[in-house]
Amino acid sequence: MQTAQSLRELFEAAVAMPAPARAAFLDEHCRDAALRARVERMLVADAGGDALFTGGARAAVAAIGDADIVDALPPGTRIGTFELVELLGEGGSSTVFHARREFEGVQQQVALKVLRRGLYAPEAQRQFRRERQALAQLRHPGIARLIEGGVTVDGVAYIALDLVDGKPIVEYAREQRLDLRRRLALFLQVCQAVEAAHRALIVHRDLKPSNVLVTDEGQVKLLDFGIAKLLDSDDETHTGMSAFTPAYAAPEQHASGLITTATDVFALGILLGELVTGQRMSAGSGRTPSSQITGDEAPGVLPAPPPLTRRALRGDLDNIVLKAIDAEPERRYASAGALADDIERMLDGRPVAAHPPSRLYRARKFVQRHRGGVVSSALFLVAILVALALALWQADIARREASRANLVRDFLVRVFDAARAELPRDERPTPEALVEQAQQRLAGNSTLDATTRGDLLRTLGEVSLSLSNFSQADELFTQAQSLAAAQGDAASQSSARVLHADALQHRGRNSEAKQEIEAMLAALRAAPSPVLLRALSVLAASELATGAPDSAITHQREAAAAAESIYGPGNIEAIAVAFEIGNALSSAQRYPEARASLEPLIDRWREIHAPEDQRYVAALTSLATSTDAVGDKPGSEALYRELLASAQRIYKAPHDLIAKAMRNLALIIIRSEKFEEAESLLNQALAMQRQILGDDHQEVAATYAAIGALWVEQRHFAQGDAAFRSAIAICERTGLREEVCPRAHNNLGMSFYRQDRLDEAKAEMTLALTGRRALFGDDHPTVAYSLSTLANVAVKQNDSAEAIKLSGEALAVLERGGRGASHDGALIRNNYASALWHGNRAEDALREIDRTVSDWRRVEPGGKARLVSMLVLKAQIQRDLKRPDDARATALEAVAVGAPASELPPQTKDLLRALSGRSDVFP
Amino acid sequence: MRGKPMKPVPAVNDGTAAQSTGTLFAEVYARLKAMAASQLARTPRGSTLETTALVHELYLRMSENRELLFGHHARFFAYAARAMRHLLADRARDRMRLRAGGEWQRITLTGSDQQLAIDSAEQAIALDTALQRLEATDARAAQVLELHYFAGLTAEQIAETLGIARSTVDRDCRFARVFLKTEIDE
Repeated sequence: MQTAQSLRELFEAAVAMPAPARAAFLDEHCRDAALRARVERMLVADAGGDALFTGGARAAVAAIGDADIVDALPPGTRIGTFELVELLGEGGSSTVFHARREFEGVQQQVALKVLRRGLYAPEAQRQFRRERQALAQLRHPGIARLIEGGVTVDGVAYIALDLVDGKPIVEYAREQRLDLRRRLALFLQVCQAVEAAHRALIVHRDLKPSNVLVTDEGQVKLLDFGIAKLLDSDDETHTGMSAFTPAYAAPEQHASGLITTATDVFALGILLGELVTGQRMSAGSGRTPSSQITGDEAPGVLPAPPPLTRRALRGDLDNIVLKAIDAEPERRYASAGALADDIERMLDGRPVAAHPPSRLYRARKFVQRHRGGVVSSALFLVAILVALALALWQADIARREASRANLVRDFLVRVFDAARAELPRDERPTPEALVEQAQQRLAGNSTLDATTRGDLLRTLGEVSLSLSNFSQADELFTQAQSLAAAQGDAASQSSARVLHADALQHRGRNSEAKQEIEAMLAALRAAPSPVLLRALSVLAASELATGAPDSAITHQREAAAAAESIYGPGNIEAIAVAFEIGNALSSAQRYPEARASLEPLIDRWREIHAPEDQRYVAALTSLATSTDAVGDKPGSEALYRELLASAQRIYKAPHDLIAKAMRNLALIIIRSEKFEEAESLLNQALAMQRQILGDDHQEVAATYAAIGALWVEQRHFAQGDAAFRSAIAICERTGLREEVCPRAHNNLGMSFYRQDRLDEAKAEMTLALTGRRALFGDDHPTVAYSLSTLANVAVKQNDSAEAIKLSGEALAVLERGGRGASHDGALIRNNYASALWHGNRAEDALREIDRTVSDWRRVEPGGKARLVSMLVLKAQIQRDLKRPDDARATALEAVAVGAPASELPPQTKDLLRALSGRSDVFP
Repeated sequence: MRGKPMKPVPAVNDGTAAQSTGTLFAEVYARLKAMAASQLARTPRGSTLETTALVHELYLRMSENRELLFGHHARFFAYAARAMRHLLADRARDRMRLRAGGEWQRITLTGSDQQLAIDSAEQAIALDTALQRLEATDARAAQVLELHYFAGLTAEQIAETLGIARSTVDRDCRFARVFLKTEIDE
């Protein structure tokens, strides 16, 4: 029995008894004397105090103290083969001694680093030796050499390094009063040494001025390469929880993320900033080195007097430092070598790779960070708004004092922080409310100076503009304008005035906008600036809207030339302004010119790896439209595919813009009869939109309309009509007044027309016509299309008088809009001629068809099949006018056009054979 | 101690023994050690480690980074307590080495503190050895004590962590204490 009872059982049984009973219990159950003695001692201990455990391990740690083994190492102590001479310094986890030894008959002086904690475990010692061997391989003139290292028998870990006689680099630059170029030359040496180590896969991890020495000969020597890792010898996880110096440490070191060569690039950026300004950069503030110069610097601290230094740093060098110290490792230079290359480019006056992060990049990052919320459209709007504010802030940085830009940003961030708070969706402020809130805060803010307040007013106005809240924008710009006027700040005043004109233009008050800009143009032209560019773009937009495309294009060309002189040829901003020429040409339906203008610019944009931002996407869209309009089917298909791919790269599915790009591509490939792919694209787009936008959205209606077109094109009329009706139902349920609604009616009408259900066709098309007139007024091109389709119905109903009236009206609408001779104008005139002919007005018909043919040849030189059908109509009219010879000649002219037989309907070919009197054509 | 083959930390109520216990322990230990080092580097010499704070900070960091490979937070605390135990033992050895070196380069502690430091270091090493014996006798009692003493968990937290009754924790703790005391006094 007693063997079955363990020490614990015996103790617990005994301790539960009254003390007097215990002896008898143990007599019975515990015959083993040693065991019994132990139980008895335990019973005593249980009754006694608990000093051993009081305070837990914390108290024990405190009592043992921070024992430093180097405290036991006075000068003269031998460590390995070295003898300690004196203490040089102490770091976080190690102590440095000056030490010496006899080595091959020579006195060798070294810096000996001793780990403050002993390494007792064999695996810890092995790890230390492995690392040390890797470092011993590192040989570079710019790096202090590791001579030896090891662990003594009693656990002292040490490494011996070249003893460098030099000064910390920042101190050296100050004492030698180095100018900027020489400071940069020194820094290039640092980069080269770091690059060499990185190639050997060794990361420094603790670069800072005190580790970067310069000898009297001007040779850079880096100390402690990889030592931080070595000293943290148990750390096999390669993460950053090792020794580092907080002020120089990259964010991933603080956050214990992955340590890579980018970590050193970060420290190099901080070092560079300090080397050229004498002040340590504070990372994460977004402040540029040039903005840190106060002007109070002691002599020698700066490479030149403060104003000169500021000017020399502003731009490229600021950007280089900011790129090196980006919070995200992948946004930094890929290597120390790449950083050095960029500095060399700057010294050579070549363009540098560093530029402020693109607006789109910021927007994308913002959306990524808030991915969970992006599906909710309210938060998405806020995200766009904040991204936009950042973009504007960015634009500000490029042209204004960075410190002021920071104030603007900080203010906006404070306002928008409210929106990021974890409010339930329906309690989140709308963007409009945010702008209003910002406006109120601004009114009650006395800490901001007038210039900054003006900046903010303009920024908020821009935000309102982007939200299509034009009256709010108008108000903000007006305030900014009067503030600037009161300050006597002419530059800010004219900038606010241009923005105000922009708001007017957006409100449809085109002629007022035009007048405003024209009044300012001469003054702005005298000193080209981004304000001039904005002014010209507002002017061009109002001209396009008022039917003066030619002067719009002229002004865009002027803007592009000015942008080149401001930003330099080939600069992204300059290209972006040049895109607008192509966009305007495309809007003016001058498609071949638009293509010629856009293609090389888009190529250039890609060559320099400029971001796929909204300006690029807009230009690509214009190019796709133009390519499609000139009848280049494969070309336009490729471009629409690219637009889709681009949207998929930029946004995360499901996304409204991806769905739109899918729908556009589908509409293009329907014409090449790629029905299956189109169907799949449209179904995906529909699912995405219903998920993001809900069932009752105009974009959902537009996709239903596209699905209808897909089915009708395949002559599946029942399915097509159902899809059109779905679109119409959305319009009716939501009271939507958008272009898609009349379009759905019109397309449904066209489907009925093709099914010979003429009365129904007429009813739908009439609804479409009414809708379009209500939406766009009487002179809109879509009104002409509606009239023209109604004329087609009248032709089929043999109501020639009605057909002539309708197509004549359609043509008049286009003529009034200056589009009588356009692609669409020619097609409608063709219908008009046909109606006249059916109405027995052959002479009038002949006149119109002649005009049609000549217009068509001019605007669509490649449109052969259509030209043949026009000529066939002309020949028929001539035949009816009893001019058989002319009819035959026209028919032969049609044959000579050379349209592929496969593109011509059989009926047309029959007519051609009959009219030309030659049975051998189109056999 | 660390030189000997490491004894696996007892599995705690948790069927997933996917990753090798050695790797997990090495990770927790390295992290704790690095954190302890950087905490010491930030504070004046002679100041002490906040062991409980360290363990909890490490837990937060590792779970924040989704690096917590432990099936259950119980396993994390088991490893962390074991790691703290090793840290304490290493520190005690450093202190003993100093005494063996005989020479005190700097006066960092007063005379009575010196004696206390050395006694505490000796005791810490003895405690570590005694704990190893307790593990052989009663592994769970040893773990309860480890969680309490080194990771600073309260009895309630230990009961919850190990999924045992609070009264069991109390009994384990009582036994572990008297076992260790009598072991050390021997």
